[in-house]
Amino acid sequence: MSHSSRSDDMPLVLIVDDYEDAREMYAEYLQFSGFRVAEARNGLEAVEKAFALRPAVILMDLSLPVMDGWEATRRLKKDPRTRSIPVVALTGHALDGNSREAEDAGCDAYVTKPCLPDDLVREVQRLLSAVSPAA
Amino acid sequence: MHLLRLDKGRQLGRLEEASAELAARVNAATEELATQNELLRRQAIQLEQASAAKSQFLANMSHELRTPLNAILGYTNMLLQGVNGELAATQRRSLSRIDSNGRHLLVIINEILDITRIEAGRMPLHLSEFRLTELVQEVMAELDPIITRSKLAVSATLDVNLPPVHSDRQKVKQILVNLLSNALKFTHEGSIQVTAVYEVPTATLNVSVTDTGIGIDPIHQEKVWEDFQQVDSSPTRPYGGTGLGLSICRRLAAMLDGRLSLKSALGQGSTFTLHLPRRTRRT
Repeated sequence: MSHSSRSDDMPLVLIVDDYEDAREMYAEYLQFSGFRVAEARNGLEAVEKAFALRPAVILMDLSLPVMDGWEATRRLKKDPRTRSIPVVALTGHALDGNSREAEDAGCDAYVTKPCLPDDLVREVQRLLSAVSPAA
Repeated sequence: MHLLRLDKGRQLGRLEEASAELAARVNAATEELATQNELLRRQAIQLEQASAAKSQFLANMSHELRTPLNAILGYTNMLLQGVNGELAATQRRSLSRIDSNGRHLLVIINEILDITRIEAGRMPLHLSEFRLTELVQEVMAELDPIITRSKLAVSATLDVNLPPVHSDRQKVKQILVNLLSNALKFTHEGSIQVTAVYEVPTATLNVSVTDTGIGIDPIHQEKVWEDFQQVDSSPTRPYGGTGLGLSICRRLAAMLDGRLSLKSALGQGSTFTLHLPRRTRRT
């Protein structure tokens, strides 16, 4: 059952998470829902892949090794090449505090884990319909 | 005469002695007091540090618990949606059990975390303007699966003249979800009614959840607001839960400058009311 047609016009989602099971779970469901997917395991990798691939949306876990999600988001939002890509902050850490900190870093949406795959996909679709598809 | 003077001299001597002794005792007591004060001060600091460490520990713990739970709930959700192919009815039933138990575990973890955040003063307020009517509908929709299963008559009667509220929408929602979930949990037959009225003189919105459930004896009514307490907290208690729900609601209501009240009697059902000011002030 290959639901994903994987044609190049399907939006590319970059999923950034250091926890493999969560990253692959979201990747699998996004593909099932028809998206193309790229993965990164830390903030630095996320920034590099974002510059190289220009995804339509970035799903960013905040607690990450090497470079955390806040810093990675700040860098992406500072660069004209990646500034307009919506970033969804994903966190499971309650004392990471509040969505305001994520907003301050430039995140466009904020989702707390546990987040069911279909809820996450809905959030991605919501963001994509809010920005122009050409972005 | 002579004797008298001698006596006076002796008395003076005794007086001086007594005075010196008194001074020594006062000094000793003052010193003791200072030592005790210092000890108390140090203990206060230690307690504060211990309490902060406990909060941090619980927060970390909750993160550690949520990470695997996220994967459990997520993969279950994907299997139930048929991502890996169609399921037999028995497989679907087993997965639904994993799903509902996983969600229950999540509720418990979230409750413990909420208490931790409130106690650590790290529960942020997000104030906005919203309509209670929509919020109540949202709450009922969210609990719809449980309402349907319960076979109780659940209805909402909202005053058409309710003004918009300036408060923390998510927290008001959390309180109402909790009150309605409790009503569903402790009512086996009859009805549940959600009502909302606006009290003009005090600028207060009163949202009540009235059920025809088992009710609470007045002597236990204080207890239900306390942490980890249920009317029956014994190991053989008939109703599960952390006993944190209402104590969280009480704290959340206070954060919103409001309060919760309870009217009930054993076997007569219960009415829980949230008294919410029209405007919550940011403190």
